[in-house]
Amino acid sequence: MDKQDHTSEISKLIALKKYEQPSDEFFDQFHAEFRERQRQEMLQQSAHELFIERLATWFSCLGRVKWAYAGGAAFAAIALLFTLQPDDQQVPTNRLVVQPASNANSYEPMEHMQVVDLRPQAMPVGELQVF
Amino acid sequence: MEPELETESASDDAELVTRAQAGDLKAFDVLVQRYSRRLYGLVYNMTSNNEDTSDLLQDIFAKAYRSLKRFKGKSSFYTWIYAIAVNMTLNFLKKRKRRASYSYDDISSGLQHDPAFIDQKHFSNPRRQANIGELQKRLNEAMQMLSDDHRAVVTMFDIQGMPHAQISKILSVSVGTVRSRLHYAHQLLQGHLKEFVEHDKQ
Repeated sequence: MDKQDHTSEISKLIALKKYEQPSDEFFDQFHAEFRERQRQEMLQQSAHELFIERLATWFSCLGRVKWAYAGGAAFAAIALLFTLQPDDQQVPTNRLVVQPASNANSYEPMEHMQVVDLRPQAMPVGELQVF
Repeated sequence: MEPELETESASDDAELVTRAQAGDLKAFDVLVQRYSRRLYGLVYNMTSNNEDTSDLLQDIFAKAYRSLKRFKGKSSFYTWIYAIAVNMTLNFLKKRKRRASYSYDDISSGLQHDPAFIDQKHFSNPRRQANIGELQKRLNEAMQMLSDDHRAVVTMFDIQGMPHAQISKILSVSVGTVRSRLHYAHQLLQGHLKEFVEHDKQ
């Protein structure tokens, strides 16, 4: 038997798997379950779309004020974005960062630098400091 | 699916799709009933697990319904939903990886009358006189030896009788690639099912 016949025989053999099927009852149940699932999704989608629609309607009824609301919302979003960004290397303004003298001309990572405290020492309460 | 049947149902499908796109759930129900068996066969033969197949098929039809508005009719509805089913099943298999959890459907009595099965029963060699259960087991073991991509083409071509051109369209590969994958898959399957293939026809 040549290769072509073998391939054809293999194909016929594998084709027997088409007889592996669930019962008709399975498909009846499957269809019922899908209908139920579909309707549930439709209800959820309707609630979501209704909310968006109401929001859009409220916004459009604001008149010219809506642009102030929109600007405010944009500003709040940007401010929140900046606030939530992590501070990688924050040095207090009353500190001076200096390089160690021996490595004055070389690049040193920030953690190896010395931090000099510029805060006034034991400043009496109420006295004015002028810089 | 026979070409002439496909042509007849394609026009019916177009009308049902239009109605479903307009929100007619019953129209989509008809499409589900029309194609659930075929798509079940695809997913089942790729996953070899009837429970996974049931869950996945629900997801496939749900996704098809959600995506229905994007269906422009460039292909038949059947080809379109079949492609969704293939892609979702391949993605599922990638996630499932090597978890070998097989759960087979019973082979129906139709097998008894298939000429290919009758040939099997008449083998003179006792080793090859396999009962239905043994044959089913060996066929499924052989299919699981294949990679997901090779199993897909074997399922579509050998089990579901889909032509090469339609397979290439669904998988977005060339016809040559389809033929090449089939050829390689058949060689692997032949090695595993050798005793069922080489027989003396007397």
